[in-house]
Parts: sequence; C-alpha cells; structure tokens
Amino acid sequence: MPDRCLQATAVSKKFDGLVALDSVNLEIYSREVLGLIGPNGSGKTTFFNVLTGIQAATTGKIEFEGRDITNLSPQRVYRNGIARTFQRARLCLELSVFDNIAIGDHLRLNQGLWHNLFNRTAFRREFSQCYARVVRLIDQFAPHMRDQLDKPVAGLPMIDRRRLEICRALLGDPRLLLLDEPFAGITEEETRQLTDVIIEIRNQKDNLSVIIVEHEMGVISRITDRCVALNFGRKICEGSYQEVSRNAEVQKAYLGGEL
Amino acid sequence: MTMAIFSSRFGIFLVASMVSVYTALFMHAESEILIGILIFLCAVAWYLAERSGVSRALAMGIQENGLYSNALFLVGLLGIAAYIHGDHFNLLMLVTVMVFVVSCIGLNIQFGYTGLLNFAGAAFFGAGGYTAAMLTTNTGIPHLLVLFIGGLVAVLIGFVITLPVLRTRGHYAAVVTIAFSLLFRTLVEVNQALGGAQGAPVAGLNLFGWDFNSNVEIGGIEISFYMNYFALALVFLVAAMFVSRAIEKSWIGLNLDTVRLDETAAACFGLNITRWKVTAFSIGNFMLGVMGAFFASMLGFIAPNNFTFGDSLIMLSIILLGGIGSVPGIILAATIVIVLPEKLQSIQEYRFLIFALGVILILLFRPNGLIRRRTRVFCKSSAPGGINA
Repeated sequence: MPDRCLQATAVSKKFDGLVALDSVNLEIYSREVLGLIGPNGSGKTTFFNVLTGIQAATTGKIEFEGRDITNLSPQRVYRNGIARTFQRARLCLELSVFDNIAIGDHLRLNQGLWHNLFNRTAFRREFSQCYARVVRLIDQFAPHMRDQLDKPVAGLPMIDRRRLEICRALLGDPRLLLLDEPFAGITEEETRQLTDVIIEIRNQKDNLSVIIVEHEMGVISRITDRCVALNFGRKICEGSYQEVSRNAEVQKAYLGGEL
Repeated sequence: MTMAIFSSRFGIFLVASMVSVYTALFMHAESEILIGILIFLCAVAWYLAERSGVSRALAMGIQENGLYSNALFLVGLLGIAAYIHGDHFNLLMLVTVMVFVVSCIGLNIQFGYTGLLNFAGAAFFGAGGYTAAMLTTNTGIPHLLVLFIGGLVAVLIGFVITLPVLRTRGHYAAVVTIAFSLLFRTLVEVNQALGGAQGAPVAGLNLFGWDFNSNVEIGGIEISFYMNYFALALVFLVAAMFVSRAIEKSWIGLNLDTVRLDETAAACFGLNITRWKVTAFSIGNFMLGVMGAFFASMLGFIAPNNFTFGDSLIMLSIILLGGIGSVPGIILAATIVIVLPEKLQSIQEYRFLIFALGVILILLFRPNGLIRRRTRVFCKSSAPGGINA
C-alpha cells in the first residue's frame, strides 16, 4: 500500500440551505494523479476551495501528510506544500510573465524591508537565483515563452495562461498540485498540448501528487491513475477511469434521467 | 531610424534641457497672454511627440537609462532653482510642487501599488503639520527630529483608524479614510489647544544652527531664504524617489501589486495580505506626515482650512492625472495642478472644476494617465537574453 498523501474524511460544506459538499471521503496516494469529475455544480471547485482554505468546511477533517490542515488559512495550507491553479486563470494581467510566476517563490524569497530596499547587492543575487528557477520551469513547460518573460500577461492566449499558472504553482516545489479545470476554454489541440505538459510534470517530479478537476470526462482518460466522481456534492463512484466512466450512476449524472 | 536618437542618452539630455528651459520660462512669465501662449506651445509639442512616436522612443530610452534620467531630472531642477534664486514667490511655488510630489509618491505607494484608496491624504499631511506646530512652539526638540515625529504621528493615526478594517476586503478602508478626512478638520477647529479655527504658528526650521528663515548672500548675490527649504525638499524628494523605485523593483513591489490585483491568488501563494497593506499604508502615511511638518514649518502657520477633504481629492487627482503608479506622471501632474492656478489667476476660482474635468477626460480617453506606468523590469539582467541561467 503506497503512502497516503491527503485524506479527507466526511467533509461537508453548506451554504445556508444548499449542500455543496455532503460528507465527502477522499484519499490520494503519493505520486498519484487523481481525476475529480462530475457535472457542473457538483462541488468539485468547492472541494478545492475548502482544501486550500479559501472556504471553511462546515464539518469534516482534512489531513495532509499526517497533519491536520482542516480550515487553515490559504497561506498556511500553501506553506504545508499544497499549490493550486484556478478555474478562471487568476493571473495579474498587468504584470509581466516573470512577475506572475515569481510570486510562487514568495516563501523562499527574503521579504524583509531592509533587504529589499537598501541591500540591493544581496537582492540582485537572490533575484538571479529566482530568475534561474523561473527560466528552468519555463524551459520545461512553456519553452516558447522564453522570450516573453517581460511581456504583460494581458496579451496571452488561454493555453499560455494555464501553462503560466502551472509554472507558478510548481515554483514553490509543492507536494500536492491542484489543477482546477485546466482544460476549460481551450481547443482540442491545446488540450493535447496541456495533457503532455501534465504528463511531463509527472515524469519530472518524483514527489508530487496531482488532483485534476474536470467536468468533461474524455480529456483526463490519458493522465489519471484513478478517478472520483461527484454529483450534488456526494461521491457517487470511485475507481479507474474505465470503471468510473462505465458506472451507471455517473452516466446518469452526466446525461440526466434514465438511459 | 530617426526616432532612435530619442532613445539615446543624448536625446534624453536634449529633451530634458528643453523641458527645464521651458519650465524656468513658465515660472518666470508674468503676463497671462504669455502664459497662455506657453501652454498652447506645450500642448502642440505634446501632441506632435505622441503622433510622431517621439514620446514612445523617449519612454523606452528613459526606462533603459533610469539612473541617468533621474540624475538629469535633478540637474534640471537645480538649474530652475538657480534661475529663480531671488524670487520668493516662484521659489515657494517650486518647493510646494516638490512637497506635493513627495506626498503623492507616498499616496501612490498606497493607491497605485497596493490599491488602497486613501481619501485622507491632506489629513495625514495635516497631522504632521500640527505635530510640527505643537513641538516647535512648546518644546526644544531638534527640528529634524520634529519632521520625523510628524511622520510617525501620521503613521500612528493611520494605524489606529485603519487596522480594524485593513483586514477586510474591498473598500472599507477607503470609507474609513473619508470619515477621518472629514472629521480631521472639525477636530482641529474645535480644539483650542491646536489653535482652533484661527490656526497655529509654526517655527521656521533651524537645523544645527542653520537658520532656514534668513536670506543668504553669496558673492554679492541675494538668494531667497526659500532656497534653504528647497535644499531640504530636494533631499526628501531624492529619498522618496529612491524608496519608491526600490519598492517597485523588489519583491515588496511584486507583493503589493499582487495584493492589489488578486487577493485570493495572493493568499494562495502564502502572501500575508494584512502585512503588506499595513506596510504600504504606513510608508505612505510617513511620507505624508513628514511633508506636512516640513510644509507647515516653511509657511510658518497652519490652519484647518489647509487640510480639507477637497485637498485630499486634489492629491488623488494628481495621481489619476499623472498615471496610477507612475512617479514621472506624478511629477508632471503635480506641477500642472500646483503651478497652473497660481500663474493663471483668472482660473483660480474655477480650479476645482477644471481639475475635475481634467480627471474625467483623462479617465475617459487616457485611462493610464499622462505618463503611464511601465511594466516592471527588476534588473537589466531580466531582459530577454540578459543572463543565461
């Protein structure tokens, strides 16, 4: 049995009357790529938000590498080694490509006022180390953007923004990476490219687990070891991609009514 | 290409000299007709520079030669001051512009970088001024220390009034500053210890025996005593520009920008949002407070009327006109906003109307301001092909 990386026990989230998550149990093992699927509104993104501390769980417990991380602040969750991307690529459009990635290095960089404002020699040394780390990631996952590091993000197509978000999330060397609908709003060809990127991440990082949220099922068949399906906030099925996609309840959730 | 000359150091030098000469002429001009012609010429030159691509070439050159351009700016400023050395009125106006530039650089760290709208700029400025009034007339604290304490008092007040709301999202902090701005004037008006509605006297600066309020004579040339204040204001201006630039080109600047643009994403990458908001707010208020104390000492007198909500809006409109986040923009806009009504007495009464119109036009047709803020480049080495890691 491989190590458990993350374990969520009976996690519920209620918004007034609406039950967005209904005692979800979920576990992910080290080095695993887990697909979290379900139709729109099934609670996938809410699960990510609860996991990363953006929203508080109503009840339940989340453990990461044996530590209780339930309802920690987003900052503390990140400090524990969990990084994420967002459904609607949350990048700072006015800032350069480099800036957007470099913020992922926040915890490693010296944030002291004196260091930043007056000790420019030390700052420059630190900057070039950070720059080298950013360039290494860009070369791995978005090599065509090597010359665009100083360009603002505003002009970039969605696929490049997703790549940037992934680079930003990876810069802090997380041990769990959460990808929130990375394939939304991009073409089929781009989906193939991004899938390659995720496979590449898998091959390169030997201490990283990944959860991918996706509502279309086909796109994640190539990359997931295991899938969990949610509907109306409840876990309805779990298993390999083939098992989940053939499951009657999952098909019902997607197609509605009887089949 | 012929435009390339404007990106070179020589081109920047040429333009800087022209701007300096123009500004000196403008300050010296007396008749409203001459001033009108000068404004018209400036507008034409600006339009042509925009159309022909000169201003874009120039902006690129300035970005590449940052220190050189800043040095030129200071030389130009010294030149203008030397040109009007004996003229009390114009020198006072020049120093006033510098005081507003430093104050707005402080506000810009709050608003332009971090997105914190501070509607109480004039009140924090006034807090520094009243500190100077109280300390210089009642105690023997060295004046340099008084200026510093003026800054600290502004920081402290800012701390007390906004700390509870800086933790929240959205514009609650802005609402609190509006309230404080409106309250501040009433507060000093009813407080007899602070001089009430009549105001309070402030002692002129005296640093280590150097009396700022006496005229200087060098080699038979009479120099206005405002030159003393100019010298000190120059030190503050250089310091503020240095700090602002250092913030922008460091991780702090990146943090502040990220907090402004996306708090959720910032939190998910470990940024302590409150810490950065408080940092930016305090640095800005410190600059405002020090400038208030300095300005009050120079005028020798302060009254509640100088620190109204309207004055706070003027400060913010300088930032909007110049370009949010842009220090060169602030310098240009502060000059326009301070100098124009002084020079054109006929618009004096309508100046609020004119500035409001200016801000609306800018927001409609040039939302990035007169001189927009450039995308950050940390060091030259971050340019493509710079360092090969």
